[in-house]
Amino acid sequence: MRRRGLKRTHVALFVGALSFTTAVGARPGGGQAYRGGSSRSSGSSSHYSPSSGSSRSYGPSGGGGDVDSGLVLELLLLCFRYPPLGLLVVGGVVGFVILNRRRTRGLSDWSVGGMPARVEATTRTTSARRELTRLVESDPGFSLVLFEDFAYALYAELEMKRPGGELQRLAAFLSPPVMELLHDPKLERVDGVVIGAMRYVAVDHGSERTAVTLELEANLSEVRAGVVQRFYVCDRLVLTRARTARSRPPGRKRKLDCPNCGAPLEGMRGTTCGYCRQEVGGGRLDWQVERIERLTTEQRPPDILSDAAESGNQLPTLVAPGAEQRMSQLLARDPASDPAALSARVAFVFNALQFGWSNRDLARIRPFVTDGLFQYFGYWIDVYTTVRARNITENARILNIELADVVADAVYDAVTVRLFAVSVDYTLSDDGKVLSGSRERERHYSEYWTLVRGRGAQGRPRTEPVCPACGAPLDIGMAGNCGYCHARIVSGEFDWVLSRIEQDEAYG
Amino acid sequence: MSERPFLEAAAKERTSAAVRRIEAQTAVEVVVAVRRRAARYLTTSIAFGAACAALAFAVMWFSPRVYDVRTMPLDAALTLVVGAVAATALPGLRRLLTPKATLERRAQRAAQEAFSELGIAKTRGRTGLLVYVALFERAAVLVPDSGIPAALVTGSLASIGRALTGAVAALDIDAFLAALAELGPAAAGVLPRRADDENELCDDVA
Repeated sequence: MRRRGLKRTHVALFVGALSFTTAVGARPGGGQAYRGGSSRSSGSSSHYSPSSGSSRSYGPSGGGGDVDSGLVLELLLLCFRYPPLGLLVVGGVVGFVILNRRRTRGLSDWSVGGMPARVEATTRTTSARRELTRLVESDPGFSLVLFEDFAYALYAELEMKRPGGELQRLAAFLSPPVMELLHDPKLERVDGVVIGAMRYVAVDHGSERTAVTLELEANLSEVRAGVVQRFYVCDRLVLTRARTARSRPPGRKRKLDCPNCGAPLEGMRGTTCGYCRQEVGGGRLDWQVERIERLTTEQRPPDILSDAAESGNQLPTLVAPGAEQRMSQLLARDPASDPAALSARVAFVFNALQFGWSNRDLARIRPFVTDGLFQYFGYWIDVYTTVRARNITENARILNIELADVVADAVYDAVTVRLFAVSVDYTLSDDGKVLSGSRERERHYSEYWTLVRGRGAQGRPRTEPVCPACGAPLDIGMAGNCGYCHARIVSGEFDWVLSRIEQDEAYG
Repeated sequence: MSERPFLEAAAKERTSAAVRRIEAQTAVEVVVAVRRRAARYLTTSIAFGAACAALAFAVMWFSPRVYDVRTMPLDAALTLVVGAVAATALPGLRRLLTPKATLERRAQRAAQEAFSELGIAKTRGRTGLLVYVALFERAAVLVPDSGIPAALVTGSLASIGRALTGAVAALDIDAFLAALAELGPAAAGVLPRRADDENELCDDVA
């Protein structure tokens, strides 16, 4: 009852204030009465009709008679002329504001459930990924970074080898049921395999075999009866390996060759290597794809012109358990790679990527990304070049960097950060027409970046365009070798290089 | 009628307890978000201010009193400001002036945005369910994730949604919680809680 009464008071105050001008203007003994009634009699010069609007203007130079300034203006003037009225009006307004604030004090929006701003990721993905690192107990040379590179490479190869009889070359890495499932005689060609994300579903350390279940999202093109179709697919793979198997040395991990002798796969005869004559299949020496399941297939052409809104920016940052602690351990081994230095390296790589991407210049990107990521950029720059357009990011700048994960194994250190950035983003045709995006509106976005560096490397991450091996001006060939010292700098053996970029909604 | 019962601490605690009881029965992860308003409706306030300004101008123009034509536009502009401020300061007036369809549409849109912001989709089986309450709009919107069967969405959830909206329209927190509790048995029949279910979206008040 009390609150209803207050509300009525609020309304009454407001209505009353508005009507004051009329009341006071017509107040008994008011100015017009003092000046006489002639100014109010009809037919006199002071009575105006709407059609003679211009003659309403008296102004200071006009002949006598009362002229009001306006309804609200008169009220304001009256507040000054009659202070008690002014105080009443001001008091009413202030009182309303104070009462309103008191009424709503402590009352705010709320929710039950949902994700906090930053969560320790206990999702199955991070747990499974962490579980896989336990493999170092039986295989000291195991590296998660190299395993992921291998998985990327194997997946891309098995997709591209599906047509014809080419799958036979991968017999060392595919179980017979998988080879049978993948074989598609009507498929003429598969290319443009671009892997967007890889997630760990489960890891099982059995007594005899280790099984890793992965989900990979990719775009690829299939050619059937001369017709090219692009698909977005999500596949679930189960990779298994005998517990007695040992990881490949770093240089070989990226190549798919005989798990025993390293000979090219062209020499394979079934699961027997034509060079070393060893039986190398069945996951005995290296990972094999024991099962594969296609979860989703959507037909989606290379979408370079849509202006889809960024999604996932508002999601909390997924932080792996113990990430801060592992960062401390990394710093203990290499104090020069402190968060500020790493952030500077991220920013340096970020700027190089923006330039290279906007100018379709792969050479600018090559020194700072691993082979797998270089393929990704290469593919999309090729798409843009084919359609005679380029995607331009201008005024790109990093707003914030948050640590998400740190992984260390025998071979590599890997640091994953969430990068928040903003830029103008638009696609421009070669003849200067804006095809999508906006040249004016800035776009906020965030991504998870994983940088890797060899365990043997130390020292402050570089932020100058020089070879990390010899210090010469950066001149890197497409294979990732320095033009001066020929060191392969994109494998992370000398400095932090970008290994993965994952979108918010795909990470974790 | 006051919105206070929906915004007080007791409402939060009772809702949190209700969500726990629901999730004890079903695999559905329920998130309840209560917002004082889904949108600002500045257009309504400005439109009201403009109407007041037009009325004031007409009064001045046709009134037998004499008004200075040079200050009439200024006065009309001031009336616009006063009217707009009044509509902004008086929620009841603003709600009265806003079409019902607009209120519903804004509540739906805000619910979809909250679904993303609150991370409802981050569940293993995509079984999140957002109950979005917009008090100014007097609306309750249910936004189910893709893992909740369509039969449940079009059947029980639809009727529970109507009951929730009715409770919010009446600003009756008890009726709201009673309707919310119906989610448990309704969802349990289709998505019962499994032994290995984790609480993936925390049930604490934020």
